[in-house]
Amino acid sequence: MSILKPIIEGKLTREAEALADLEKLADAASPPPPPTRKPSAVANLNNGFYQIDKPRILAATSASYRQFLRESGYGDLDSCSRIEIAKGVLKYDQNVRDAAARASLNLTEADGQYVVNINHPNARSLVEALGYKVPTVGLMYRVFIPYIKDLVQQNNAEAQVTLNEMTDTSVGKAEWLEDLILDKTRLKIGTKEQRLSLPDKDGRFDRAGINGFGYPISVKSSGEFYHWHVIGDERAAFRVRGSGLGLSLNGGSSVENGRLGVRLVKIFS
Amino acid sequence: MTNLTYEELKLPNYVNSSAAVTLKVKDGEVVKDLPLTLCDVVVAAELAGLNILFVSDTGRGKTQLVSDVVWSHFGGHDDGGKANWADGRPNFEIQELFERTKIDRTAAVYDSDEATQLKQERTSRLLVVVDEINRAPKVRQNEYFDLAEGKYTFRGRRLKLGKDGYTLFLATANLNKSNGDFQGTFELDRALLNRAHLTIDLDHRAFRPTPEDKIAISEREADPRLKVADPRDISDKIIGEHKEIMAKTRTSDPYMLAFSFMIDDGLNFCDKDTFKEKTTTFPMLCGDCAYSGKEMCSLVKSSSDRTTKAVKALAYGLARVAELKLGRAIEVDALDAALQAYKFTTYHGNLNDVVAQADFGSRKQELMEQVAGKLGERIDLLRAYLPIIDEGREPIVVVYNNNGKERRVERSNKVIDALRRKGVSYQEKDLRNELKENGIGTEWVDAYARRFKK
Repeated sequence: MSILKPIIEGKLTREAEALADLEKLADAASPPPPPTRKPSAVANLNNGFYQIDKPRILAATSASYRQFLRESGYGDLDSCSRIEIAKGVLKYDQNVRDAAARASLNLTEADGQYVVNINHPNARSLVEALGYKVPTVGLMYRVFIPYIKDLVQQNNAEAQVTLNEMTDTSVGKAEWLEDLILDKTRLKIGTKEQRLSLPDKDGRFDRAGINGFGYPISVKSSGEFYHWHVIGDERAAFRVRGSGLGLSLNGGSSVENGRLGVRLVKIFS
Repeated sequence: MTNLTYEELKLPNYVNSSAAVTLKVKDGEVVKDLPLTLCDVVVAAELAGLNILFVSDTGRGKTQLVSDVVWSHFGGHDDGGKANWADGRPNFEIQELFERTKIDRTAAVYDSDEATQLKQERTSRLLVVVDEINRAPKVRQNEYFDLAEGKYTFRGRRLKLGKDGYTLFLATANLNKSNGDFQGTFELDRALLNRAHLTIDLDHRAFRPTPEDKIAISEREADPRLKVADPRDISDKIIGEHKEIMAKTRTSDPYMLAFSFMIDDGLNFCDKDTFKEKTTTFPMLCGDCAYSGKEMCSLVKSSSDRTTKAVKALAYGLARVAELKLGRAIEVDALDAALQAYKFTTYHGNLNDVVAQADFGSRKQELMEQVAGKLGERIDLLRAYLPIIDEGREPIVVVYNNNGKERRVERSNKVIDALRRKGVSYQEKDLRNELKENGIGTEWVDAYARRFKK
C-alpha cells in the first residue's frame, strides 16, 4: 500500500553543501570589524551616585535612541557630559519628604525606609520633584545593568551591594522605569511615541537580543534576563527583582506594591 | 491489501474528470504531479469511511453521483443491496428505513413493544444516503445526526450501523448560496454540517465537469433523468481497504502530527486577542488588524479534533487512490496530501464569513482554495525546519544570499564562521518567529520538538 513520506524537500541546504559553496567565495577584502567594545566600567561613586561617562553612554546607546530621548523631552545624551544613577533604590529622608509635599503626595514612612507602595505616576512626580528622572528601559538594560555587572566582575564591593539589592528576592526591590507601553505596540516616553514589536510571550533574552530601545527582540528558553510580556492596553515598565533582572510589561501604572520602588537618574550637560 | 482495482471504483454514469487535487508522488525514482479527479476524491473518502455532503445548485449531478456509488459499489438500496436511501422530504420518517410493525389480527392484541421490530438487515447496511437533505426542516435534520455518526436509536438503545466497523453517510443539498432561489428548502443545521467530514461544492469552478465531459455526456444520450447503474457489490473490498487506512491513521506520523498542529493550535492564533486566540472574537477583530500575518490568520480559524482526524484519514485515502490509479506502489508526500485533504474538510463555520461574502461572493470553496494556498506557503516554511527538529536540534537557521539565491542552513558555528570570513551578511531565523510573523501560532512547536530531542 502506498505510503505518505516527505517527498517535497524543504528549502534547507545541508551544512556540508553550504560550507563547500562558501569556500568558493573569496575571503572578505578586509575582515569584518570586531564588535565595538564598550569602554571598561570605571567605578566612580560619588555621594551615592554612579557617574557614567559620555563615551560609555554613546557606546551603549544608538543614535536613534538618543534622538528619541532628546525629542521626548527626557534628556539629551549626545550633548551630556555624564549621567548619574543612584546606587540604591530611593529611601526616605527629609529631601524626599519635602519633594513629596511639593508634588502633593502623601508619603509618610520613616527615614531610611524604602519609598515603595507608590504607583508609576506618583513615582515619576516624586523623582521629578527631586530634580531627577526615572531610568528608562534603555538606560536600565543597555547602560546601567551592564555597567554594574562589569564592576562586579572587577570585584567592586559597592556594585555588588547594588546588584544584590536588585537581585535578592528576600530583601531586594523592583523599580519603576520611565517607559509606558500603549496598545502593546507603542513605547511612550514624555511626549514622544515609537512603534515597537514586542515578544508576545514570557521568556528569556540576552544583551545581544535587545533592540535599540532596551526591549527584547524575541524570547527563548535561556538567557541573562527575563521578560514578562505586555498584557493590556497601557502598561508601565518595571525592573523585577531576582537573578533574571526581569523586564515586566504586564503591570498597570496604578500598581502599588511593597517591593516596588524607584531609582534616581540625572543627565548632566 | 485487497485486490481492489481502479476500474472497479469507476462510476458508470456520473462523469467528471476535472482535476480536483494534484498530489506530489514519487513513482519509482521519478517525482511528479498526479492529478486526481473529483470522482477520485469521492472514492478516497469512501475508502476512508468519511461522510460527504454534496452541495450545489440543481442540475450539477449530485444525485447521479451518489446513486452511482450506491449501485455500483454497494449493490443498490433494494433487497440484497448494502445501502439505504432516504429522501429529505418533510414527511419522511427514519423509522421507515429501520423499523417495521407486525400486527397479528387473529390474536386481537396489539403491544407496541412487541409489534415494532428492528430491520436488522437494514441497520447492517454500510451506506446511508439522504438525498436533498435540506428539504427536511431543521428539527427533522436533527434526526439525521445519529445516522451521520453511524448510530440508530431503537427502544432507547443506540445501535451501530454498518458492518465490520464501516459505515458511510452521503447527503446532498441544494444550496441557495446567495439569492434564495430554492423554495421549500431549509437552512442546514450546523451540527449536521460538522458531521459531514467532507463538503464538496459541485458549483466550484475546479470541480465542475470539463467541456470534454459535457460533450461525452451529450453524445451518450439526451435523457436528463437519473440513470440507475446495474447493481454491483464491491463492499467487502471497500471494508478491507478501510481497515488498512484506519490502521495507518493509528500510527504516529511526525509529518501528519505537524500538519495537525498547524491547522489546530496554529490557526487558533490571533494577535489582537488578549489571550492570543480566536474564539468568539473571530472574525470581528480582523477588520482593523494590522498584524504582519493577517493574510493567513484572518481567513480561517482552527480545525476541530474531528476535522484533524478526517484530514489524516483522507490523506491516506487519497494516497491509496493515487496508487490504484497508477496500478503500482508509490510514495505520496505527506504534508502535500494533508494539505489537499484539508481543502475539503475544513469548510463550514471555520472560514471568515465576511471575507467569503465580500471577496468571493459567498463562494466558500474559492476562499478555501486561497486558504490552502496561504497555508501551503507556511507548510513550505515548516518543511525547512522539520529535518532539524527530526534530528533533535533547535529549529534555528541562518539565511543568506549566495549568487542571488536565498540559502537556508541550520545554524552552526562552522557556518557562521565561514559567513563572517567571507564577508557574507546573514540573518538568524527561528521557526517560531517565522510562523508567528506569518499568522500561525507556535505554542505547540516546543512540545513537538521535544518529542525528537535525543
